[in-house]
Amino acid sequence: MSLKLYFLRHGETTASLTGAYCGRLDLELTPSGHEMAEDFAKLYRDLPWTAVFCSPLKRTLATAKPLCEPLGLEIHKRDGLKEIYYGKWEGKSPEEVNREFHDEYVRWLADPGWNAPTEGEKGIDISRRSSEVLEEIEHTYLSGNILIVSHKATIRIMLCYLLGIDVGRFRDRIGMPVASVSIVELATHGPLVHVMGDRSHLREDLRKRIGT
Amino acid sequence: MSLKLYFLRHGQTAYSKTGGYCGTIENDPGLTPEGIKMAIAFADMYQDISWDAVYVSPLRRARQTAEPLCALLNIKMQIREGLKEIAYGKWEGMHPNDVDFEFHDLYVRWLTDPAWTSPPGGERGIDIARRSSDVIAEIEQVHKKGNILLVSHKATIRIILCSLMGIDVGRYRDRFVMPVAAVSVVELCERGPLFHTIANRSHLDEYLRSLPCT
Repeated sequence: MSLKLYFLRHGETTASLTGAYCGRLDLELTPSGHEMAEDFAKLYRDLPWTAVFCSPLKRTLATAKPLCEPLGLEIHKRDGLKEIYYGKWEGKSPEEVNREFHDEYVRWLADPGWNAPTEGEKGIDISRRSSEVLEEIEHTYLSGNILIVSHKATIRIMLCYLLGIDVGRFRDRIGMPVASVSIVELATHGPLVHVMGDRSHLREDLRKRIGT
Repeated sequence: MSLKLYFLRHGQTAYSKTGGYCGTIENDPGLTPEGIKMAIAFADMYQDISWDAVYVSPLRRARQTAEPLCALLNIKMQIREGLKEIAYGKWEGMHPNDVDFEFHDLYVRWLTDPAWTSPPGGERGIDIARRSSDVIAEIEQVHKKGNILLVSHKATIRIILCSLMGIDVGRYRDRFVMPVAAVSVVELCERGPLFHTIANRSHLDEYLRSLPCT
């Protein structure tokens, strides 16, 4: 048996609806966000879970809860799975950031790997801290199914890291809507993608909700 | 509106059940009854998308997979050689175990780097990347926007995905599983290819999804 990583992005928040930058801002899920978490639990509760790792923010913990609570699964919180820190851009809309921090914004859009939001985190910093969590998982579990509940930027950066894609491309190459699931097996010859951006566990009206 | 590419791998064939290598026209048995059900399931789920064009590999299994959707919506298939499966040369029709036995060293080298190594008399990954990228370039030029279906094969689709994502072509076998009838959606955006989903099979019912395949 092999080691399979299930990356789950948290459910909907007010920021995912509007596209405002939300990193360390600790928003709750919306009612639809909670329903997304329930739909995930419903489809995936029969899988034999080996462990659950989760970002310590409210929106990810609330996303993990409907699966973990009834099954009595312990949630391992890891700071390395937190969302990008947006620094002075936290809570602002892309339009506001473009106006107030124009040049830095243009540079960040072009290469978020080595450029940070004003006083925030570079992609490469997120890649380093999240890869430590992946390393811990690889060392702790030789086989089994591991759930990793994290965030839009952080999950995309982990996927780039695993696939060998330049981290600076994470925003432009991978779409990662709320509550989507990506499955990567750590196989003999490296990370093997089974599915990416799967949302088939969501009821139709949730799948059709707009947002980022 | 943007240009969205939907990559569909053909449905089940006798080879996809056993893992035998098959790439050429001469070695192209077509879909099994389950494979045809997969093609119909795709048409059912995706018929409401407004399709602008359908590009298909000339191999029978790919044409049969495109057939239900194209017949339903009266769309003409555009056949492109560039979307064909890898040519396996002397390994055509053989099972991996027999290839390993007869061509051991070359086989190990090919497994490790199928980009610059080819089966004897067959194609290197890099050759497939070149011919398939000609088709992508053609699509980009002809269609500025809309939804385009590409029906192709396991190696070829994985190689196109590697090229679009910026992954070394030599990693295509080790980085992606691409089961039969899987759908991958890539949007060609201003800042390059944006992957919406890889290997989605939610259009298949549980029975079709559960069938073993390579």
